[in-house]
Amino acid sequence: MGSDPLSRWLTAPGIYLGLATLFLMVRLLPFGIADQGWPGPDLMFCLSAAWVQRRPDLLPLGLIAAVAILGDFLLQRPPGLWAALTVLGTEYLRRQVIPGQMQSFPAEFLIFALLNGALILTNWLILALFVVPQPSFGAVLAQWPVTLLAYPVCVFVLIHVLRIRRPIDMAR
Amino acid sequence: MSYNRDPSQEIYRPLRRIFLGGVLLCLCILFILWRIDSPRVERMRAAVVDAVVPKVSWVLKPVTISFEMAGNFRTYQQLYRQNQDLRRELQQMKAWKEAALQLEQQNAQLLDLNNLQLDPKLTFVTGVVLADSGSPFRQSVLLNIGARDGIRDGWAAMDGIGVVGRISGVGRDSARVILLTDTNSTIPVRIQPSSQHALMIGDNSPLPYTDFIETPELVRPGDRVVTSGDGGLFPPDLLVGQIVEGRDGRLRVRLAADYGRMEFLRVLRSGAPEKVDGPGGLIAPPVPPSLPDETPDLNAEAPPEEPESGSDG
Repeated sequence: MGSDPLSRWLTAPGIYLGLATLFLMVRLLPFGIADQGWPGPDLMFCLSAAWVQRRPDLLPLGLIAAVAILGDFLLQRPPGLWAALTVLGTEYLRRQVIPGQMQSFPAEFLIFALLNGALILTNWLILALFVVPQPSFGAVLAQWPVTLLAYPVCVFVLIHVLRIRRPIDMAR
Repeated sequence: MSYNRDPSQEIYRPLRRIFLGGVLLCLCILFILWRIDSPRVERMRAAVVDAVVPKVSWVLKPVTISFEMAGNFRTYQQLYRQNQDLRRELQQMKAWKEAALQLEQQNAQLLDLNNLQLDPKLTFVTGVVLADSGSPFRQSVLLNIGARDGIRDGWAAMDGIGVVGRISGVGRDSARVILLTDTNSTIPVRIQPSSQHALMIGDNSPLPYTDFIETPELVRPGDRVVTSGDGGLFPPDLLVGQIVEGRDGRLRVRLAADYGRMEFLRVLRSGAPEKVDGPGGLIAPPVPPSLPDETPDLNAEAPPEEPESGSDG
């Protein structure tokens, strides 16, 4: 991967789109019809959240919104709601990062956990408010720990495979 | 660009805020629009799915096949035991096949004796399963046939044996099948041999439950469940499954269709159900032909060989 800024600017959205396509396809593959186990992690949200805290300049808002709305349409979710919440959440994280300052991973993880929990709750509440038929609260909430488990993996891949790091970490 | 705080970027920040507000507003409006006018937005969704999924199906296919191969490989380990089981089953099946053949002949004779007309309209279109819903809370699959092949909303989809679900959402090249296990699926069924009418309601578990049974005492686990055709939703007498008693004490249905291996589905072409218009007229002596001004509904009691006569008069 080229280290000069221009090629980074061109390849990073491509990488994001490629991963988004991969995650969507994996969820769409028709082999999970019969098993009724735990819901899978929300990898798209993990990726966006981890990325936006490292290189916010490489992940424009429009890209996140476009991928999220496509996900809403393809994955049979109520269109628009989860996309809006994803955009809100990632914008919050974008502002959360103080430039030039180190942030420890436990703190980052805690913020992510609280944010994801809050978004899932808000999603559930709004759907209940609009009287949309939805699965039981327990089943919805089961997504939360699964997504939390996936987050460190996502961060690891982002840092060590894709080399998306904070500018301050790269300088050291 | 929150970390990039050099002054040249400062002028973009209000613009960016407006953009963020606009995106959020659009998404919320879309959601509210979906809640108000669901069919229109769902058609939009069908169009999006139709535009995206068939294009990537060439990627989906090899991955699906390799996963199936991995699954098949796992069954090699139990091959011996499976073989024994199959042999035993085959023995039983041979006996059943004899019985079935005899019954079929007998049935054909009886049908012939009664001069019974079988419903000739059940033809089908077969489609390949492209993708599932992608959500743990929605039970549906996407087929590679759509409006181009004449598929319409509401038609029944079956695998080789039993009903799988019904079409809900048709794109040009793709159609979505809501499975019977989905929470949105409620179909009228009949439980044989007691001929009890009931509703079968999906609840996201592999075994949908039955409700509104007239006399539940007559229903036993092991009874056959077939579609009843009430409401014109499905053609009648398609096999659905067998009654089992769930862990919660409810009567549930073990579906005859194999949800673990869904590759091809048949979509049954069922035309619009025939309507019975009006209660039928009085039974009166035949009207002499010299009275053409007679009210038309007296003609409705023509002999049953001419069911069209009511509309002709």
